Amino acid sequence: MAEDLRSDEGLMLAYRDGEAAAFDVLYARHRTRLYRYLAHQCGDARLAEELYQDIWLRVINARADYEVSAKFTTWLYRIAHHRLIDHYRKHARERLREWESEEASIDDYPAPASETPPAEVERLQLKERLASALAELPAPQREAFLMAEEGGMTLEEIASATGTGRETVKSRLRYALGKLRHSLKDLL
Amino acid sequence: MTEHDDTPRDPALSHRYREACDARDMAPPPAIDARILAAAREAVKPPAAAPRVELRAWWQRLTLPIGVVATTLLAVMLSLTVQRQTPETVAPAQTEKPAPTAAVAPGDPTLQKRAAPATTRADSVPSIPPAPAPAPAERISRAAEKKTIPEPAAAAVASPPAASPGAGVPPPVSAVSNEMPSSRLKAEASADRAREAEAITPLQKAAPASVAAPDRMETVRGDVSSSIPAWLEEIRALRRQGREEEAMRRLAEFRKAYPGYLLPEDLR
Repeated sequence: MAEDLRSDEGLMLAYRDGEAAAFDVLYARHRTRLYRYLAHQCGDARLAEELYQDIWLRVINARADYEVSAKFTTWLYRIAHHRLIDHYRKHARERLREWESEEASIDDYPAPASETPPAEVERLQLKERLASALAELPAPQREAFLMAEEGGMTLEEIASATGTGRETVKSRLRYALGKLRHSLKDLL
Repeated sequence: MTEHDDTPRDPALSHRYREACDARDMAPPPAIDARILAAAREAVKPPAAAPRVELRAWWQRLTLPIGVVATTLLAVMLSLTVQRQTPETVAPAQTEKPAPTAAVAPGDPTLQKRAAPATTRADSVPSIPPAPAPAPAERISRAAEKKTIPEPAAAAVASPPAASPGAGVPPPVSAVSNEMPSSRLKAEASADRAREAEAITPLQKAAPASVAAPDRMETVRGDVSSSIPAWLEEIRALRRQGREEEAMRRLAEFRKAYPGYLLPEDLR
């Protein structure tokens, strides 16, 4: 099947106008990245799945009002950000306690395959280290880093999605990178 | 977007991040993918093709008519109920006021004085049986009293029980009242006594008002408003004539017949 070369925004507009296949393409483009963003942000695979599904349903329900006022990624991650904020407001204390326990968050992800060649073992160790380093970051810094990494978003786009100032995002991102570099210095 | 991208980045960290987050174990489960894609397709389906939407529309279509019919039915039922109840609840208030004064001769100040407290009290007693409009015969007798009849006789004549039960249909009250002597009252009293002596049916025994006068029993059943003042006036007439014993007996009968009725002060 030929790859759909339309932009994200074009696909979303096509979906808004009733083209169901456009959504399939759009979804395939963003599914993994959005899921990883959520998984790292909330540190719980099951919760990430719940939020992930909810966010996509919001995208579907908001299709009628969709206008190209920003990049689709910015719009998508803005929805994700608000959904996460809602979740934090409801379960702030529980989440904080969960985030403090790194073991629990790592154990929530699927176990590795039975065969664990050295490269795979190394990857899983890296994954664990990275997950714990991310968990140590304050939520806004982690969010800025994940939006930049997973969403490929610029400072302006992150600022727009999170409703904060560009300079604030820049500062958060710098702090996040510095802390992660420090935590993973032996791996870099 | 045209602005220079000065987003802080660390290529080495990004590389390690991508390595760690392999798509194999950091992706949404296929079941969730299927659910989301199905929801997306369902959302853009034309409404006619979706049976669920059709079902909702059917319910929505029925909601308004059912609501309107139910409301109308309720309103009709309510108004019918109110209409049925109205004569029972409103009639006493309208008719009780004129009832006591009807038996009193307008020209007689003593009778008016006596009747006045009874009127006001009767208004304030809620447990009195409903009283329809005063009987026309009463009004006629009042007119007749004005003309010829002396005070005691007039009061007695005004009461329907005076008619003899054995005489079939009694003559019109106005006709009787014109030539009503005091002997007529005596005849009435003796007739009452005779009736008391007679064997009384069980039903009549149960109803004290009927013991003395079967006609009165009918009057009590049919036209309460005319019988009460007439009865009271009869008792007063008996008292005025000095027939205390008989008056007391009639009063006792009255109390049995109307236990909730608040008697005028002169009869207590």
